[in-house]
Amino acid sequence: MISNLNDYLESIVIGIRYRANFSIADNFGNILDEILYSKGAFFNQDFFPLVLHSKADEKVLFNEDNKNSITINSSNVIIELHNVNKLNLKKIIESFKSQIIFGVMKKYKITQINRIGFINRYIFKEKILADNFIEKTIGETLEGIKDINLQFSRKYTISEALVKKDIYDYYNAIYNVIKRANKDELFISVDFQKFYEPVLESTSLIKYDQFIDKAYIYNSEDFLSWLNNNYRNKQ
Amino acid sequence: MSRYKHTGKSKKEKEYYKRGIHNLDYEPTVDDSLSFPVSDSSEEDLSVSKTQKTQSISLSDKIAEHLKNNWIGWLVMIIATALTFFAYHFSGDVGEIKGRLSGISENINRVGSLVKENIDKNHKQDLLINENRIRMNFLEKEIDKNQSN
Repeated sequence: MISNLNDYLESIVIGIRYRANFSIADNFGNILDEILYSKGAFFNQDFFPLVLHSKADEKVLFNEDNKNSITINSSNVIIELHNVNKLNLKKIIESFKSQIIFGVMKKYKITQINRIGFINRYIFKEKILADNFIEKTIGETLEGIKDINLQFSRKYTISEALVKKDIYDYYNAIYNVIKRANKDELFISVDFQKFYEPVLESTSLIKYDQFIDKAYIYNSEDFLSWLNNNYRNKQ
Repeated sequence: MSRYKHTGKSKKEKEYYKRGIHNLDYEPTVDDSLSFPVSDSSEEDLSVSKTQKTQSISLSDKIAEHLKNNWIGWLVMIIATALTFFAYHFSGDVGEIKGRLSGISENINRVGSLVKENIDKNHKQDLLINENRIRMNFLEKEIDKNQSN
């Protein structure tokens, strides 16, 4: 029985999606300066020593040692953090809110937010999980299966949207389960998203803390229960 | 639409919302899925083959591939062969029929000449019968004359 998911947490991703904003490309220089060099910046040049110019309309702040990154393009701001057990995750999540969402995004008028997502990636190095996953997904009729990738999503209503006439917001949880042929472990990512319909006119309207808490609760209750019931117990 | 109105949803609107969200497509925040080399991928393949050998192909596959690539030539060749075969056999058959017809014609001629000979014989026999009948009539008259005398 798995009780504490944090023991298996490998990396996290938080992403904000907004309607295409092409002025971001014109302001890349200012935005990167603001993130890296502003006074008291948490995500400074020590945190992200490299700037990658991956595409014409995209910049990536990158740390080669731990592969952590922040990607900024005309539709997304995404932070990706690895080896999270070595990081002060709470501080980073808080800093992403204050420095990026309510700081840079607000300052450069990145508006029309239509989605926020929080991915928790877990690696379960338990053979029984991997075996049960194969047995319950593929069965015993197909031999020689190498890599398996199962992806599905489930959407959830939001109480505010059930009550208010013009709000159609909802939660979406995307599960991605991967079993590699050469590893007796199971990789599972849970991408918990909140969609805004209509879009939010400003980042200040994002109830970030509430969303992060909701994602944690979802993972520790719904996901954990699904995992233990389906794959942890041999039936 | 505005987020700040406090108007409530009707029962129908609630139902529409509940059903509607389940029909929406989804897109992950970042794509964690495995990149299998699926057949509908249009990406360029710049990988280098790990083996130098080419894959062995079975003889039946080779033949099938060859026929697939050269089916027009094979079709023309088969038609030409069939035509030649039939033409050869047809000309032989015609010769044989001609020979048989010639034999039949000779037989008919032979039968014709036999018929003619028979007709001639019959005619001679008819003449002989008539002559004999005249002779008999003459003899009968001579006999009658002698009896009356």
